[in-house]
Amino acid sequence: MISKPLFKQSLKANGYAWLLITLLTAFMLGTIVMVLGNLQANEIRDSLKETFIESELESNFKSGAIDGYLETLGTVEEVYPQAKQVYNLTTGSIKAYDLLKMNPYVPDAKAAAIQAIYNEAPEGQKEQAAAIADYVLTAYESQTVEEGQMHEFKCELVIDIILSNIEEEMNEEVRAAIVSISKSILDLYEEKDDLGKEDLQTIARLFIESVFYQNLLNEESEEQKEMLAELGFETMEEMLDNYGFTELKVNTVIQSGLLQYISYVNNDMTHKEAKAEVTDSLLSSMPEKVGESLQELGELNINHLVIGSIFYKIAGLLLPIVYTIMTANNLIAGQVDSGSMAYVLSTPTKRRKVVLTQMVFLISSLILMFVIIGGVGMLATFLVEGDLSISFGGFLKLTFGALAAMIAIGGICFLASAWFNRSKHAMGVGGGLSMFFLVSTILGLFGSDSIPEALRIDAMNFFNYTSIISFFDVNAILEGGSFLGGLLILLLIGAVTYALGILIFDKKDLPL
Amino acid sequence: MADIRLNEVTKDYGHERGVFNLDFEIKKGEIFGFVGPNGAGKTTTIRQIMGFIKPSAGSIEIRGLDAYSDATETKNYIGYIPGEIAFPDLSTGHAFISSQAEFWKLKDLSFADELVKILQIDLSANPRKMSKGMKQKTAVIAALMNDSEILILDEPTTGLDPLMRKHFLDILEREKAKGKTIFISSNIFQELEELCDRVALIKDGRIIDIAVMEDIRNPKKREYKIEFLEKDDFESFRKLPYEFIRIKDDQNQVIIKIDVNNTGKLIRDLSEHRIKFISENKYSLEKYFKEKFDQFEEGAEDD
Repeated sequence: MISKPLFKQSLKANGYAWLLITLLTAFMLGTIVMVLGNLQANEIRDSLKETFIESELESNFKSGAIDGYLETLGTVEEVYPQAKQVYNLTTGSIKAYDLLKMNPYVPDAKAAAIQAIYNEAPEGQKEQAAAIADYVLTAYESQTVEEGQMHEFKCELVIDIILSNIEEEMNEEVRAAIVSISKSILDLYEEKDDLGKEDLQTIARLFIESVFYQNLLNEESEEQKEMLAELGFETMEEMLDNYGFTELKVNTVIQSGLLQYISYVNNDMTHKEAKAEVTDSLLSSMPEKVGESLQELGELNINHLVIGSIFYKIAGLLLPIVYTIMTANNLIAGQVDSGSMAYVLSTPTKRRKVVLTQMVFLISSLILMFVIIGGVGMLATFLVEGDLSISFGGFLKLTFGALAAMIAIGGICFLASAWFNRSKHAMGVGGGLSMFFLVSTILGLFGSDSIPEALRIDAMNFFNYTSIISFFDVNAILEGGSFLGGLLILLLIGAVTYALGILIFDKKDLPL
Repeated sequence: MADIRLNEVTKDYGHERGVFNLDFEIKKGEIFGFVGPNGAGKTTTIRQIMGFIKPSAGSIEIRGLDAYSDATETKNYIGYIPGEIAFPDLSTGHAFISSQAEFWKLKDLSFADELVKILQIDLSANPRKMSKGMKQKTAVIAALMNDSEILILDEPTTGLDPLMRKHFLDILEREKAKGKTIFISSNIFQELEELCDRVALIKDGRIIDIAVMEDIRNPKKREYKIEFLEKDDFESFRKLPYEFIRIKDDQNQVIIKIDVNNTGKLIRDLSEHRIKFISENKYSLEKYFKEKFDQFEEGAEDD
């Protein structure tokens, strides 16, 4: 169905241009793959991402610490009056007992002391006070408490009483927390006699600082698991380790956060404002837009941008388009314009055979060109150490997509070449349209999703609607989306333009 | 059957451009000249014969095949030299010739080699860089190499120097001797005069006349220019019943036109007069067409 001598002529006339352009474009892709693979183009991205994650984690820690602190402070404030009262009663009971014990006229010092406590207690609390005194003195009677151990002894009793006053069920953790908090309160109370607001805040803060890191490691909420999975870690420890959060560092972070928070609150800031101020991360501390852009920049895959949107859609198409414009013109319009077509058509060779042969030449040369370009790109991935995050399948799809775009553009050039008798008209229309599509794609890139928002000019996205190359959706191919529809449209454009070209050339008047 | 037959062929490009109502036929073995000024429609006619353009009306038959719809089949009989010579993008003339041979499925290139010798051409040059004459010679070889029975030549001698033109015309004579049918266009009357059996004159897309060259080479009536030695002879001859075309009193000179059959009578009459010289005013295609053309113009004015 095709003419062998004509195919040979086309090969001789266009072979060198084909070879040069194929090699140059393949060299371009090979170099891009090597550079991106070896120089770790994603390093910047990764460090940027790490910085954001670190800052985000710190802010998370602080926020968690503040929440814990507030809860603890509540407990402290609740426990403190009780502890104070019970401690005072305990001290009073022991004092009364010691005093009465020395009095030989008192037969039962314990009973007398309890009576005394009962008498002194305000109305309504007498029974309770007596019960506490009884409990304390029973323990006191049964052992000898040395002078230095007195406070510890009292604390033990007081904490027991406090715990027994709590009616709700408690797990070990809460129990331990209450014990620890109560102890802190009592120690300080023993020293200072009365505790102010700031003392209670300090107790709550110190408590959180002492338990936060351990809690962080033990916590196993769904939310946390999700976050870990997203960042690619199995355990919290692994993640903390990866981002360099030692126990000391975590503690330093939350300590500074809590101190800051407490001082804000004490300076008449509301809880919300203070917390927001303290937990501002790098991202949230920036204006919203900038923050989003930087985050996007952190998520940007440079390999996808350079290989997909820049090479396969623009740079890698430029020379093949130049080849296509020249060759499509040489194959028909150029030969009609110069008159050399007369030599083919003055032999028994059908016009349809001529135009079909030229179409087969153009399409097969483009197919071979992209097989070589894509092949070189894939081979180059063997030579690089780093991960390009583009699979072989990805390269295949990109290459096929670019080929589909070229077949459509080739079809337009071919149609122009078959339509016009003058080279300049065929080149003007076919080449003009092809270049317009390519330049539109370049302009459209600046408005496309491939470009981080900080650099994006949204209005430029308009140009993506004026180029048929947009049907070749590299982002869908690389990020996993549907791209076959677009490629089918490109092939359809090709089918229609080639068919029209054949029909027109078959029927038109030729000035030969 | 005629080798080429044009039936009322019109190709109208509008604004009086194109060709109109061409109706003639070329017999097998005939050399048919096609002459006319630039832009008269010679190439348009030839492109229709070649099937490159489709007539607006009428039809062309090549050995019974339609020149347009059976264009591919007709090429089995046709060798063609286009009016504008441009070759495919190949590196040498040899490559071009062998590529053409492939298109023709021609195995035996001995005739092409013979033509190369006659035309003295170096085919190792790049055909696109050849001089005009070289290109023309290469085109001649490409047209003749298949030994096609019908040759369609669009101004084939343009660019050839006089010696090469002579060679080329010799080649055509040989082709004619082989019985080829040749359709040749030109704007040079002389070369057609020597070669052709018939010559058509085309002007503004219309055939004005088709001259039979035999009639022009050996016309029934011939013109003679006679100059007499003395006034007496001149005066006496003028009284004889000849058809005088022109009379020059001061030179004792007349130009007469006589039927070939009366040549003997003229010689007898002249023998009775003293003449300085006698010469025949050769009839030419150019003269013939000038007459026809003038008639055509008058006819046009009458309309």
